[in-house]
Amino acid sequence: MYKTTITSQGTISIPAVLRKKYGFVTGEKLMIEDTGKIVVSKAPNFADMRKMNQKAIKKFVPYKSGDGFAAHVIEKYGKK
Amino acid sequence: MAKNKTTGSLDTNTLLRLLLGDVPKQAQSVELLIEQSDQLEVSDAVIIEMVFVLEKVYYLERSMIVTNIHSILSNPKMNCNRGMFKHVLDLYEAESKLSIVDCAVLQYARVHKSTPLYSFDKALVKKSRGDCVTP
Repeated sequence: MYKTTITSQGTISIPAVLRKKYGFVTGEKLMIEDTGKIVVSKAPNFADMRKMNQKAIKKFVPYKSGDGFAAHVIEKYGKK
Repeated sequence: MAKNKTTGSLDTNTLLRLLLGDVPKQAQSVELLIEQSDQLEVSDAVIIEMVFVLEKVYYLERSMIVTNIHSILSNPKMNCNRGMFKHVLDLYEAESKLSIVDCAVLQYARVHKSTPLYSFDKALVKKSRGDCVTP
C-alpha cells in the first residue's frame, strides 16, 4: 500500500516504484476509471494494438462491410 | 473568436484499419485524422460491427477483441456510448455463449429500464439473471 497527497488542483503523484513497475513515463496519457474505486491504467496506444493484432491474426483477408454480420447470421440462424 | 471544432464520424472500416494495420497507409491516415480532430463520432452499430468482424473474420479471442474496443472507447476524442459498452463488453467477455448483439440488446433493456427482455434464445435467458424471459 502506498500513500500520496492530493494538491489543491487535484494532482496526485504516483510513487516512483509503481511508475517503474507499470512503465508510466512522463507525458503519457493514463485512464482513470470510476468503478466505485478509482482505477488508473495505461491508455492503449493504437500502434501497440496493431502490433498485438498482427501477432494474433493468422491471416489478413480483405473485409467487405457486412461480412461480420453475415457470418454471425449464418452461424446463428442459418440452416444446420 | 472561438476556434471551429473539427468533427466527423468514423465507420467500421476506418477503425479496423487503424487497429489492424494491415494497410499501413490507411492506418496512418486514420491516426492522423484522429490527431487533427477535436471530436469524432463512433456509433453503436460501428462498434458492434467491429466486434463481429474481429471475431468472425479475423478470429481474435474475446479478450483481445475487448482490448481493441476499449482502445477506441478510452480515446477522449471518440464520442461514443462508453457507459453502455463498458457493461456490454464485460458481459461479452464473461459469457462466451452470448453474441455481442445478445449482450447489447440485454444491456439496452437494462439501461432503458425495459426489462424483461423477451427472447427465445435459451442462452440469453439463462445468462440474464432474470432480466430476459421467454414470452
